[in-house]
Amino acid sequence: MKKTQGINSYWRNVWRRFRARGAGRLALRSLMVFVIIALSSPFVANERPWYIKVDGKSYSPLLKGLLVDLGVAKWPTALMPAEDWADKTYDKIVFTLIPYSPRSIDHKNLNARGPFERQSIKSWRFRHWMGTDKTGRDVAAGMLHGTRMALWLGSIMVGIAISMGLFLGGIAGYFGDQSLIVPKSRVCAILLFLPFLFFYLAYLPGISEEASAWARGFQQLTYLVLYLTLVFSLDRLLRLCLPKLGRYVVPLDTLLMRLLEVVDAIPSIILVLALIATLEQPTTTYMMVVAGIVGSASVARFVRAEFLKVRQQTYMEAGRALGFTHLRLLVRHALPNALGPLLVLISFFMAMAILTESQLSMLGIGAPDRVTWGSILGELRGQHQIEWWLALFPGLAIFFTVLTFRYLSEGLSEALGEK
Amino acid sequence: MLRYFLKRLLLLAPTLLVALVLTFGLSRLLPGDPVEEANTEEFEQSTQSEAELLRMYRSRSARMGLDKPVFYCAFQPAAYPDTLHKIPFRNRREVLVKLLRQNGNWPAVERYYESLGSLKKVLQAMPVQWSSEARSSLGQVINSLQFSSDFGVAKLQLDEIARLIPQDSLLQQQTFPAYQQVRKSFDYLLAHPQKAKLYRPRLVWNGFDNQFHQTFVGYLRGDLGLSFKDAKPVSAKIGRALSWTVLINVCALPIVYLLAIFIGVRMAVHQGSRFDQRANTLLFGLYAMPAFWVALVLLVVFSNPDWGMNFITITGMMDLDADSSWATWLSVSFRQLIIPILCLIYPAMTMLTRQMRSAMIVALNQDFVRTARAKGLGEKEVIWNHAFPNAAFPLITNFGSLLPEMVAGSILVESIFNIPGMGHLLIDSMGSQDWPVVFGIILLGTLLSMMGLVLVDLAYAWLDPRVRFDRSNQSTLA
Repeated sequence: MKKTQGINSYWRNVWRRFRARGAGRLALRSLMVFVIIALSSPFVANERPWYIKVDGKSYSPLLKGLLVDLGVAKWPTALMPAEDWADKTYDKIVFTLIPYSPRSIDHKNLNARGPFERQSIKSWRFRHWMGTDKTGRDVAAGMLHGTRMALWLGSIMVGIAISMGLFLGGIAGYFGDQSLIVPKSRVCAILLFLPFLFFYLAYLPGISEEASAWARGFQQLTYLVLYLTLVFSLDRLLRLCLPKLGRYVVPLDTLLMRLLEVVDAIPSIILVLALIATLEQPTTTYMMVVAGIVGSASVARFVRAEFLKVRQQTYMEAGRALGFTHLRLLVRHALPNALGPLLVLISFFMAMAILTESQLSMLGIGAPDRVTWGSILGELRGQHQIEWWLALFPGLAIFFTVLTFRYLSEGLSEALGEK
Repeated sequence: MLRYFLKRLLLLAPTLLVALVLTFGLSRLLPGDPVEEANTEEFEQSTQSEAELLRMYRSRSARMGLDKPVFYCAFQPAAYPDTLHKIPFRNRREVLVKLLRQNGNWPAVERYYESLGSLKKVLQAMPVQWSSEARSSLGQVINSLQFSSDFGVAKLQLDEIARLIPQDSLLQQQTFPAYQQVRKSFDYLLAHPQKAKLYRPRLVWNGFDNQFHQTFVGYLRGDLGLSFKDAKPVSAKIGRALSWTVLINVCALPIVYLLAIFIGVRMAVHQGSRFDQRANTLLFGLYAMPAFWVALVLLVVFSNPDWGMNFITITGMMDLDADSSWATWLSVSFRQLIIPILCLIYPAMTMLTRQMRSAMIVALNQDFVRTARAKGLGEKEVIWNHAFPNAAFPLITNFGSLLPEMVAGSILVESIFNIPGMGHLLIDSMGSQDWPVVFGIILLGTLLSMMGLVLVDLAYAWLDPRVRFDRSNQSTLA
């Protein structure tokens, strides 16, 4: 009980120090605004109206549409076709605040109509407050959904980078070169069966080409379990037959650091571009997964340094003396003490992820399957006149999100007493 | 010192080797058939007859060295043949593998596919002037049969062929024997599956005459292969592009360092002053300002003739010919490059300045600075002769990470400002799927940034003798 109280008061102190600084508070508030915009964007900017009344019956196309997109429901016949809501007449109709979806095309306002220019619209209700882009899409709707995309894609990248980096850097830093001691019999067993594991995972014999991803996954899992069973039994057998085989010290740190050195040596944007090229139709999500994997190298480096520091603390020594398992020491003792710096890193990485994403989208890399801030900016490439609304709004949005996350990480690191 | 240098170079080799294997592996994962992609026009202009297509493919792939096995060895199912890579056209190869994966009997699969090909040849060899509806639909069915990897679908298509052939007497007379061959081999295939062979792995030794060995030896000799697009040597293409990238980076780097040192030191010396605070806010703002956005806006602003500021042109450096005079070359490139260089400078500068500031603050609080002041040295002397040299280490360390960053930055700046440098070439080649160029650039980028790391280590060892002599401190070597 006492221990949890201690942790609580530590974090309470950090929180107090964080709140004491105006910049940190401001950053937290603006982050909250961004999150609220991201969550509410489908309800604020949507071509589907909130409410319509037709032939005495009421519908909510917006909510229904969400269910249809999820594949749970179907459009009622009275609402078909489920497009061009504004052009049809209903008994009663209530639109969202911005009656456009990010990808819905307004054919009357093509070729980038500015916010202050004349727009051919029915009433002020349908005005494009931030103008339209070249294909006639509403920029305001794109901006709101862009917030959603930026935070979502940023989270994917950061999530992958942090979890992979935490795992690799954690075991490298915690075990170092001397601490991971494995019986030689197990090393033999693992190495002996490893080529076969790769073989069966790569070729998956006994499963047809058209099998679903689930069936493939299940098959791969089966082979993995089989592999582990074989390794385990061979390990036991070897230890029974040759009890004097001895142990092997795995230079885990050196091995992982060599690997990271290779990844570090290839300029990350070039590596990301090359990896994206290997897919026939890369989606934006895949792009961010790749960026996350590449980014995990630097996280791993950072986490390793943190864990190397933590490893030499006396409480770790005490834990080892008490005979705690590696897992317990790692998760319960090393990780919470490295958590603070990790939080700083997360918010720093989030800023970087948003920059990376908008940069790649702007260059037009990957499939243009989504409207993001970067893709709105990208419309300006290689042309002579500037549509200021296409440059200003996404630019400001990126500027303020990046600033928010930077101030957040700065405030956190000061609150944690890093400097 | 020499020993240290050699040791460091030796450590470079395995990293480079892994990078090479990685890029080579990536290049094999790419979608599309390189032979077809490199010779799209030739394939389209050919008569499209089966025999000619096969002959063309074989000669082109032999010229590109793609008819060799991929690697020294392969660990594959026993059912797989050794000569899969020799089969023309990637999509046909994939169909064959799919058939094989369901059946496992390679000789039967091969015989079936060959008999199908000879049926197609027989059909195409028939006189051109003689044509009928049955003939054209037969041709279509055979074409789709060549790409159907499902035995059920294939069976239906074979039945369709059997229905079409008797509709025409000449067709019956010419193609029926070939069709019977196909049918026989198909039935044999279905009757004799060898699925157990699919589960049995086999290690195949391909010898040294393989694609990887060829590429590897080529790279060692500095030969990066030929571009798919125009069959020019990749190294020449990259070399020309590299000169531009090097030029803008060489212009940018000293400015980055000078600015970072002067602003950073001043901020540290007047820590907490109004200058420090303002500069800090400004740097923060600059950091958050995405370089690509700034570049885009600057480009549009400074290339707009309506506003009287057509300082740079959108076509960029493409206007320059090889034979334009030295003076015009200089003036055009100076005018064109000043804004791109600016866009390259400021993101790198913000990072470095902040690091300089914090390193300088640490140095200024050291005892030797107090001693220097106590013995009556002037403030300038204390700052530049005592504190600064000790704070300069992060600047050196950062050079290693700054170099790849600058290369990445140049990709962006070059593609926005149309400077025919490495980044521009990379994006262009990726768009047109010119993979030899792409992988050449990746390897060169890797080599460059690793050289940067080595230089950093050497500078460290030169400036700090502890690194050189400390044998236990292996981590600085890594």
